[in-house]
Amino acid sequence: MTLQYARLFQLRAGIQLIAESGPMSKEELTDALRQRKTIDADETATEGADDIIEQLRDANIIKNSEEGYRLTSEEEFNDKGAVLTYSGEEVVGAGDQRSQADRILANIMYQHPMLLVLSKFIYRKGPVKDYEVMREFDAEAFIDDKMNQFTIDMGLNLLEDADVIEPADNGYIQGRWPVRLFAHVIYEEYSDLIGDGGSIREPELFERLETLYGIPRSTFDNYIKRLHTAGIVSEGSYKQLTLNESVLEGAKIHE
Amino acid sequence: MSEPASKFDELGLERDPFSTTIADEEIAAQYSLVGRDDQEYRLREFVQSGIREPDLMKRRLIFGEYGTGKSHHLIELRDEVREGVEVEGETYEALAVYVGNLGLSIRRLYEKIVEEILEDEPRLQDYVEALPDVEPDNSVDEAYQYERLQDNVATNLRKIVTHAREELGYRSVYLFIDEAEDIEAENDEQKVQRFIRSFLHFVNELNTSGLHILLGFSQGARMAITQYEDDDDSLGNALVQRFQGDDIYLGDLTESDVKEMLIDRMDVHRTSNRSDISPIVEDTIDVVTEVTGGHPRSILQIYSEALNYAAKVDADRIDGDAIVYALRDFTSLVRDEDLLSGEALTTLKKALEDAHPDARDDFERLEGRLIGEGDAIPENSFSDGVPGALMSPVTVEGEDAGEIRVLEKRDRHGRYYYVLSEEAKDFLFRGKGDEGTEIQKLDLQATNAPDKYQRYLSRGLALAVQSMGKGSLHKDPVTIASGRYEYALYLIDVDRGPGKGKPTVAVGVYNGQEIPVELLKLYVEAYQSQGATFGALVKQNQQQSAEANKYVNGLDSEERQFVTDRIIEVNLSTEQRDNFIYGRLLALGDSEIQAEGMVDGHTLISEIGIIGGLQETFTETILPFPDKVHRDVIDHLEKNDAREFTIGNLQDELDIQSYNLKSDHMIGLKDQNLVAKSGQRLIYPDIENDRPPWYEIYRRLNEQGALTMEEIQAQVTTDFALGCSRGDENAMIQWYLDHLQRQNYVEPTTVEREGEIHDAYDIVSVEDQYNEARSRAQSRLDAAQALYEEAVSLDAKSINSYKNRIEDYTTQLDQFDEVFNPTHNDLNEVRALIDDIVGLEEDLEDTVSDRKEKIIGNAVSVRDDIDDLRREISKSDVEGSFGSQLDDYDDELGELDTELESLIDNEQYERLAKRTGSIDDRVDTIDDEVEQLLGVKSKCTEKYKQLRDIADSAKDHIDAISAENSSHAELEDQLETIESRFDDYRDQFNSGEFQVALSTLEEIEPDLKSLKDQAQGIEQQQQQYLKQLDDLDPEISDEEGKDLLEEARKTVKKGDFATAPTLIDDLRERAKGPTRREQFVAALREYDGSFTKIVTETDFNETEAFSQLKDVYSDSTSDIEDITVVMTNE
Repeated sequence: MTLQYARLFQLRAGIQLIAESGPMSKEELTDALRQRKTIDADETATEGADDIIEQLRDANIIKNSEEGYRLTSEEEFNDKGAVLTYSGEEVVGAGDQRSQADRILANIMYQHPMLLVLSKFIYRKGPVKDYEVMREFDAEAFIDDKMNQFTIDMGLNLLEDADVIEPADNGYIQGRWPVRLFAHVIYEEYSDLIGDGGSIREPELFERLETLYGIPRSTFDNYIKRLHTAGIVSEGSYKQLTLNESVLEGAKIHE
Repeated sequence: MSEPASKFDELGLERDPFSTTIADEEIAAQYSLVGRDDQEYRLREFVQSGIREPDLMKRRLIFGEYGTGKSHHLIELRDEVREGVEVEGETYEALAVYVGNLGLSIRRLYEKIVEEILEDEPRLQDYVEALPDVEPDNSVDEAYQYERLQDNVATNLRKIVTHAREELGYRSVYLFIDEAEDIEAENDEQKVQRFIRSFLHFVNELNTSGLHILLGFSQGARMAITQYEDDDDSLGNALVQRFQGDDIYLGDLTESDVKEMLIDRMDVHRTSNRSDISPIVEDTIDVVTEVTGGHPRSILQIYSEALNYAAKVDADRIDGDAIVYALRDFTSLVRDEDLLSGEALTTLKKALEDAHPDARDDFERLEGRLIGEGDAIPENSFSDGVPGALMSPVTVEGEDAGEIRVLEKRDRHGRYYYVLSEEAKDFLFRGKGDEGTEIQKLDLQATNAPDKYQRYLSRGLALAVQSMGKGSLHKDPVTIASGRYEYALYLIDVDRGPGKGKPTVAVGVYNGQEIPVELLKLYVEAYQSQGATFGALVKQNQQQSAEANKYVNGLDSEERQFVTDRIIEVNLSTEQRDNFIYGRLLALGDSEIQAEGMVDGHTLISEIGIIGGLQETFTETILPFPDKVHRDVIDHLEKNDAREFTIGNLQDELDIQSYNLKSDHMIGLKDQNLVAKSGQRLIYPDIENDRPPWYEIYRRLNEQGALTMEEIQAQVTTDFALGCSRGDENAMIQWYLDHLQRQNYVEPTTVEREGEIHDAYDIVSVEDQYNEARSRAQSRLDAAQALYEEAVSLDAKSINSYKNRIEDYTTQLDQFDEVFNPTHNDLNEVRALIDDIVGLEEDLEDTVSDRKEKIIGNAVSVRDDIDDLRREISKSDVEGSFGSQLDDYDDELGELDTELESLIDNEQYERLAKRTGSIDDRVDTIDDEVEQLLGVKSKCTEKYKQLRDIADSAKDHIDAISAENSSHAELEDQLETIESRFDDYRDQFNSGEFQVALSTLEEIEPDLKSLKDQAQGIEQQQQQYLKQLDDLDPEISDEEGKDLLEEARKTVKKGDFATAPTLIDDLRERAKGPTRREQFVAALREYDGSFTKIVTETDFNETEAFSQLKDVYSDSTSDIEDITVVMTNE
């Protein structure tokens, strides 16, 4: 299973079609996707549509059932304590396109943890040219997710699509923080700061993240709330913050 | 008659509680101070310290911008002091004086102080009046009058204070000075300086009098008194320094402070709803606080305006609409800027018309709630489709043209609400109202507590550098305790671009009096244990403290080198400091401060100019050590230093992934002189012309003689920073030395150090190199000469020009023999000559090589000819002498071929060239001869066949001649003779004697032809006569005639052709009628020669008619002149 050549807007189109029409056979879905494709794709080609379906399936957003491909439901999706991922129904229910795309990205990042280290590298070292990313990661693996020039290229496209990274004059720079990357660096810096357990003062954690990644305060505050909601962090008195590592076990954000 | 109702009745207020300024002394007494608990505590603490230690002057600065409540505080404090100061359960009497404005006249200040003192304590009236006038006598020299005035003011005040304390029981006297606004407004530097000098004198003179001073300043006033000189000992600085320490700041109010202030104000003027925020809609407080930045006076003015608006429109609440009204075009009291731009609001509304038909109406209806109350509006309050349209980008025109999402969606309990987006707020409010003042306050803090804020300022600087994408920060700073605080330096790996290293720089800011030793220790620690190869210190022209100097002098040379040469110092100008640069750094660096959008890191860094300084230093001082891939590339260029490469060549030949070697990398390597370019192609850099970094080692060895590895490293690091990781220094220096060695600039040697022999390196001296080069040039020239001679011996073509070039180079080389003290220039010239000679050598090599190929080619061609000829001989299948001759030829050819093969194998080109020519000639000869031999044979065969045909024909003719004819036997004999000669021929042919055989045939030929002709003639004559006799036979019927006929036949057969015609004539005479011939001739005449008519009209059938015609025609005596055949028309 590798990262497919599928763009976020195409993936969103895929789930939107199923959401509007109900379960569809692969042929129907392929055909409908082909009709919808208007950018960067040959409308008569099926390959792109296949990639979209495969990517959505890999990302657990759709699944094949007796009636055909349908959105995964929240009940059945409640799988193995995976946090910061979304069922197909939750993706559709996100309301606006931006949130939908963010949720799809969260699932793809769950399937392909390499996206975490790619984006982290750019956040830490940006601006970074694509060849510098290749130099860093070609033939590497992260949480068993192997990287090569093709998947790195695909990954950068996807992250750029999602505005997670942005092209600038001298290479990619950081864009909108994805929540999974936030969780990843929180885990890293929390572990680094506290050593063998305990809690940490939130301002200290923010200072570290600001130093390393230049994270804006508002992003930090928002995402700490998100992690809190997901049960990943617990807030105590005096701005003490505890990371619930057991919740993170299934999150696939660290090795 | 009742009092006229207030216009604010509807709103439950007797009057406008917000309409007055809080600085008014009467009003100040009415209203409470809110949100200033800490400041009030510290003000009281100041007063109490003056009670505890009354003799030594207590001084303190209180900072606050216009409208932040400074006057209010000081007036309240004065009133409190006048009521007695309680310290540890005991109440003390004290005098308190409030002076609204410091002014610019020391005399005027004195007068105001005295006036206030007398107001507080009238009992001092007599004493004061008895004091001498402060104005100097006319007798005082004019030049000293002002100084005397200062003295008099100080003297009188000291006397008054002392009198009040000693005679009237006051423990202390407090002087509260509110503003220094005249100083801020005054442009005359001299005037300001003179006053400051006087005031400083005043402070110094009264230092132990029992007077305590609280000096209120705005940031602008502080700037004004310190701006004139960079010198830290300036008067302004001296004054500020006397007061600074634990300064009190009056910042802006929080939302809850604002609420408390508004309630407190309203409660003074109402009887109902006390302690309640109504009629103000509470949500508006958040908006107004945010927009004004919590500036008290602005808030009051806005609510005053909103209150009046609400009263005017008969509203019973001060709601969002009233606030939008008040905010619109309200000019900030602290910045020259509108809080809510009316123009922006209008522009936005226009843009809404395009977004959705109902958008503008909805927005205007809801703008009070959206803008003025910051409310979240439920979806059903909007027309259908409007929220969606306003969540998408809306295009606004005008100065700030762009796209704005007006609304943001909120989800509450499953329902959607919409609030004004941050983008829209930014657009309407332009900038947050608190930015300017906040930064100023931070700047003041940073300036007045340099040690406390050092780490935050340093962090701010480092974060700003990182935010520009110029480097990556290490996660932890290096820190050191200094008194109560901790200094920190932040480590950042500065990005220099592809193909270049990322040096670690320890970044710090310090704005205290002098650079403390702890800070320098921190830099040294960063260097020694954190891998920093450079430091950067942003400061303001301070010198190092004496202790720091001592520390630096005590460092070892390497550390001292780092401190003195590797720390880049950036001194901020006064102008930069006046632009609150420290405040901005603090805003960025203190993570507790919400600085988002407040400070632009890019602008800050470009103002400070630290990046340019660093990059310049890097370029000048880093000796690069590229990573492994790029070192391999450079080594490859070195090994192939005569070649030029494209990036593609290098990728292919070294099997490098394309991402590891891009043009960006090569540009980076070229910038560092690690590679050079020839046109668009890459080449190895020339050590002296391109000066790659290893040149620096060569240069030092050249200047100082042989050095050990350690000495080289020490030498190089004196001037340069090594661009390798800590621990790789030896590998890097060795890599440099390898290049120098391979290029023959440096060679290993040994040196003696303190009696011991050490391995070392030395340059290959110019003279040695020169001599080596000259000798190399000579050997190359010799080689060229040898090649030339070889070319001549091989008879190569067009080699005269080579001869000329050899002569030229020989002359040039001879000239170098005369150089006694060769310079690098001479060395370079010899090397250039070597290049030329090598070029000649290559040309000659090509020529010789071409010639050799040609010789070989010729020889091979001859061998091919030999092979063909031998194959022809082998196929000829000839025996006998001719066969043995061919065998001889074959043997000879075999020997010639072996000879050629051997010469080729042994590369004996010269001999080969000669022998090939002669062997070729010989082979041609043999070829001719063989060809000739094989030609006679076929001629024999052909001639024999031809003669046999004649012989056979002759035999046929002879056989046809009657046996009675004597010629028959004679001719047979002759033929037999000829046949026996044919036998001879066959023997000759079969024995391969083709020429002899051919001669035999040629001899046979005339005899045979004659014999055949003779036999043929006799046969024809015989047949002709016999036919005539046969024709006469039917005509002869008598016996005599028949006998005669028989006799005639015998005569013919005997061959007596002389008698035969006579007998035939006789027979014709005896014939009865015309003969058949005569009849035929008669028929020819009768039918006019028509053969057809003769056949159809007479008894001659075709056969007989043709036979007769032939006879008549062949008879030379007949009358037939011609025979014509008539053809049918086509």
